[in-house]
Amino acid sequence: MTGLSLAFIVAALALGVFSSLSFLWQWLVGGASRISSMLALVAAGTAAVRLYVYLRRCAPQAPARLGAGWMLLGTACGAAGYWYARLAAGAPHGGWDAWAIWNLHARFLYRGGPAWKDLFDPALGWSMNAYPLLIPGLVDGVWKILGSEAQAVPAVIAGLFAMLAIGITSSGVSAITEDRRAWLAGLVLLGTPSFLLLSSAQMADAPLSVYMLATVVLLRFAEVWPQARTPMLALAGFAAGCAAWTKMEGLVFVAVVFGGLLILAAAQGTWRDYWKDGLRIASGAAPMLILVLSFRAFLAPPGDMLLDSAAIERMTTLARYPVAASAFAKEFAGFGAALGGVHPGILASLLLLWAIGRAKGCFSALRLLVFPILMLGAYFTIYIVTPYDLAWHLEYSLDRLVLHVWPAAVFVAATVHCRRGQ
Amino acid sequence: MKRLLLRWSTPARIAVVLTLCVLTFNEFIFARLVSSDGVLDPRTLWSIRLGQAALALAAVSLALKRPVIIAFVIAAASAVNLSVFSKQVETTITDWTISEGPLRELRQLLPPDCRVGYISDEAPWTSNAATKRYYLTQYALAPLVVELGPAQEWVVGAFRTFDPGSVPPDLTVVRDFGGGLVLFRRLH
Repeated sequence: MTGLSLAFIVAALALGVFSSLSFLWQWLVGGASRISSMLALVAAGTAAVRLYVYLRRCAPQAPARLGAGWMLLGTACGAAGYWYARLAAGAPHGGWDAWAIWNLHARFLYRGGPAWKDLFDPALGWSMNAYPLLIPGLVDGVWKILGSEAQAVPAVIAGLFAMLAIGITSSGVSAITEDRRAWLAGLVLLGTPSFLLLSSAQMADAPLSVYMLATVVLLRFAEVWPQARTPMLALAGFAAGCAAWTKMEGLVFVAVVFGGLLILAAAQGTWRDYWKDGLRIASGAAPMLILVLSFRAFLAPPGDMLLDSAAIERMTTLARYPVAASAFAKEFAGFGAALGGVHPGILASLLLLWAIGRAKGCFSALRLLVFPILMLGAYFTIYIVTPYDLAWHLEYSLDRLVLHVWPAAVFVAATVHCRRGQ
Repeated sequence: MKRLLLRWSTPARIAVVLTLCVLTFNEFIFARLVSSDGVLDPRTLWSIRLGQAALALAAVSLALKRPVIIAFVIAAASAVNLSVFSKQVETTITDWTISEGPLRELRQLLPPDCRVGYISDEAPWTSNAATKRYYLTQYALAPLVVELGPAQEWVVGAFRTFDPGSVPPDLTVVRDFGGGLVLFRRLH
């Protein structure tokens, strides 16, 4: 499954490259058209194929063992796909935030012609027009290639990212553990109703979770495949950069990646490795970070989260902490349970137990939990300093933020217990 | 942490921990955590029972050293959760459905490079319906910028009930699309 996991990851990264090239053409060259989008697609596709061939040579080959479990996962994917398609056909514009933010931005890029920068008009502040443009750029690029504003495009792209989340999780676990946990991990993700609903909402949260997942998987690959360490770390950086181009929280995630590595280096006393690895990750993240920072500096209006004196005052208001902590506890307890069914957290724990019950091993991948935990810690801090009403902000966004780290957490739970020597 | 996990990773010990989890994963704790009034939705109760069953089966699986039971539990629970998603689909479609209908027609009447004003008998952000009306107008009319107030030459009115007397006198009706949607133009 090594090849398949690399293919899924490279596909996710190629989508990021296509989106940024389409956008860069519109921004720097101007007059983006079907031809410019086709060129962007060809460039992203060619780069993806070359990268895949290179990675296949670097990474060890693990034979694919398809059995009844994989057929079960395939059947579950088919069932989820059917219901997803029904939802997309019934509500083609997606959830509220999809049409009020992401699809609206895509319409500005596609319909706007030379006036596409009106997207950043202060009158549109409510549509979060400072948000980065991976998803709108992707939708706009495909619309330009098709030559029409087909409403199915955002839904198809959202479905593609949901598929990539399940594909990267299960094939990534398979590449490392080579046992049943791989398809079980896919089933755990498919068995998270809120994740499927979030994916069908056509918002940028599910793609963000895919890039966070890809980063964590690539960091793990870098650990278990020393011969491919450099490209895996650089790609992990690139995936984190794509997360930053997807949503503002992605920029926080880039900081979390470096912060997490710093904590691990401090715990293990491997400072020299930290600087080397940090440099490799930074070199991978650089292209997307340059794009995001240029976008923030030259195009986007100022964001809504500023570290000013008011934010510091909110940070020192102790009454905000129990409110946020209680909302987090409520979210973890009700995660999935609010919709009925089995709590997905229990399923992820069972995934861990399945391996523990089978064989003696080690917990070398446990350290990767630092990334989802730090990310949740960062979200907690953001809620403390948020300029919005805290209760309102928590109610309307916390469920989505927890889902950002969910695929990565499932991957870590599935791969925590591994054979000695990995 | 690693040492602790290794020390505790014998199946029998974990089975004991799981049994304790079954006992503590109950409606009394949930009622405190997820419900503001201490009353749980029947779906949440059902979810707790399913969770307890899954944990109990996992404990049996570890005690008997039959991990295949855990695989079975995960597969069965995922099937249950998928059916939960399928049941949500119809409700979600109703919640998410929007119609641009007459706004598309209205867009054809506007010049291609203007700013559009927006007036209503219910200010945006005072209710969900009012916010949705404003956002939907902007979504349908993009790439034109729709700004609040009647200051522009072209103004879109999205009313619950259209009352011509409540509109500024220098605005003339270009077309009434029905359903409270009206296009105005300022008289110079």
